[in-house]
Amino acid sequence: MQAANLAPVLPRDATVHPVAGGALLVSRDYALFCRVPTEQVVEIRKLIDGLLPFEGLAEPMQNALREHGFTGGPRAAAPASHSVQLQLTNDCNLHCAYCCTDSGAPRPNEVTLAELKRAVADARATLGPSTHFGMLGGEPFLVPWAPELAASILEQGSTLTIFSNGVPLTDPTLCERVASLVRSGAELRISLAGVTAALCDGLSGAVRFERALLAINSLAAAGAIAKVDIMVMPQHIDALAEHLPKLRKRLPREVPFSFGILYRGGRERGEHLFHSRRELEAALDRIVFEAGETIRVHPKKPLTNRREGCSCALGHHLHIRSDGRLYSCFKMDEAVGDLRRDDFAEVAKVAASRARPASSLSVCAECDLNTLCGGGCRSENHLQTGNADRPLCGEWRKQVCYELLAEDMPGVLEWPVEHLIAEAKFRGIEPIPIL
Amino acid sequence: MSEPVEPIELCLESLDAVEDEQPYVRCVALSGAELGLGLTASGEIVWKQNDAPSASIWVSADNQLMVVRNEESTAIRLVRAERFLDLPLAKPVVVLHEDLLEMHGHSFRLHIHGVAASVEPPTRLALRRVHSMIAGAALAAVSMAGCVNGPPDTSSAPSTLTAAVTNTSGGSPSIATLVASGGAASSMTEVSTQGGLTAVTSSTRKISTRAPVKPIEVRHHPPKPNPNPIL
Repeated sequence: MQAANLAPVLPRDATVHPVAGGALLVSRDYALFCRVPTEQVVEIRKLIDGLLPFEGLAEPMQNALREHGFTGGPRAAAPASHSVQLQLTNDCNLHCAYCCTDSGAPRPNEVTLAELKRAVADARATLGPSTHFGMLGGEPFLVPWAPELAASILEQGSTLTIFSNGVPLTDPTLCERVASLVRSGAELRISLAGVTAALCDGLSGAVRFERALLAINSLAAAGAIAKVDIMVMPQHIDALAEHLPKLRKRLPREVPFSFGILYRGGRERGEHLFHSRRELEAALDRIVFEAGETIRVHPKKPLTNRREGCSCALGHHLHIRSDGRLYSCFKMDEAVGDLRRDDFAEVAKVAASRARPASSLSVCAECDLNTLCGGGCRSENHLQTGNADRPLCGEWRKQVCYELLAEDMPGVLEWPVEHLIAEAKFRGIEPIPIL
Repeated sequence: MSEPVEPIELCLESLDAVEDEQPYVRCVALSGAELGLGLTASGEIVWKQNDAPSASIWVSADNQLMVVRNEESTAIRLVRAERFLDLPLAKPVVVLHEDLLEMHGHSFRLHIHGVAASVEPPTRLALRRVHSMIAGAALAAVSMAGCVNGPPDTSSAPSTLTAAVTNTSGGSPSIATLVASGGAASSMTEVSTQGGLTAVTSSTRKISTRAPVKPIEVRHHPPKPNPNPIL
């Protein structure tokens, strides 16, 4: 057939890939995707080749393309938001079996208040005043000057999240000080390793549960609502379903709960992880209905932001370890500088200049999903392949992503690789790698 | 000391009802030990019948509204915020305000109103659902009264029948609301002076355990400072 010389409607790089029940239309340049039912695949190919006008498509297909952004311009990335995480100490009053930072004993020659205050000022000057800060440990409130540092961050107008196990806050003086920080805008997240004292304390190697609850209630009495992060692991689902309502009753109703999903790293070797997304979702379903809670399902979305890489790969995140070393990601040992040796501003600039978008990675350069997938999480890449710039990928991974994008689930692009492999197995996609 | 178990008043809204039908049935769930409210496989709401119905709805010792599937042959699905659970046999499951119960082609939306002032058999309310321009006016009126999208148990004020959010198949949730039979809901007064609804508004009071809480977020732990929920 002769080309009809029609004005291009779809992005010039649009391609189709077979998926169950049809195909997936993808544009790398525009970071777009759209399911094409089997009966429309021929027409879509004609549209790509300029042999069919847009109006020649069935109306539902036209609507689907509009909804999925194919009649607009390229998708933009989410606005870059910088964050800096400050590990005040590696010292911890607990010894959790799943600790991803492998905390316990302090490192030799840990950072000082003056060093971190200077780093905060440098970060704000270099990365911008909207830079978000996080404080963690170990247990950050084992450091006597932790409240002073937090107050200083807040006074400068920055936002701050503090991660604590809450136990030190049973001290009334410290509790009142921290309550004042929360009232001033700090987000305080207190974690529990389980939903009962036996589970929580058993995993933490110390008395934790009752003390954390005491702290949360004392904070609330002082007008400060902490957020409670409950670690969720496959072994705890029965207990969560049974005991979550009892935990609710022991805390003020304003206290929000979050579930923390663990990942491989530090002392966590995989025994407390969900090995597939389906396993995780089934566990959440059980908790929802047996405990009487609401947990939203990841919403189906026809559009997503352009994602050239994870925030670490793009140099948007810096982690200051308690020994002063600087990392682009707190999950992995890939130092980018040292607070005591290097100029912070210079390190931040270098980290940003070394951004590794997926298009620059050899595995990803030619992939038509590289503006959607971003090349995966670098720490996970390192864990799986020994090279942070080499994701564990292949046709199997692309096919899983095609299938789930065709179901309007762009969230799949951020799933851990183990979940992607499990999903590939479930869908009969082969061959898949063995971890 | 544990709090006393009290009956809970609720409405079962049949989502299968056609426009002219009255879909709302005011019910009372009793404590677990008592034989009370149930649903049959054919979608009939039953009360204190001798044989166990396909599904029983009752109040647990900790004042939670529960549903339990009694029959092997009747599949029952509970739906909440796009999650669902096919109820296991004989295992009670907590139900929340605006949950959806599906069984044998029948769908019921649950509207939980609070502690029942009196125990009464199920009563069909003289209310119908509308999908027209007056729905907006009615919804606005109900909204002003502060009782849209949430169980009416978060304050000590008397509660009213909550407007229903119905999830139509495949589409966005559409708002349905309550108006008096045969009349437009031009004001809250007009809505609330109908017999059935008046009974509801005057009979309920708060139940602490039914107060809504924020949905639980699911995150990687510890998250980066920027929020990164995975659900």
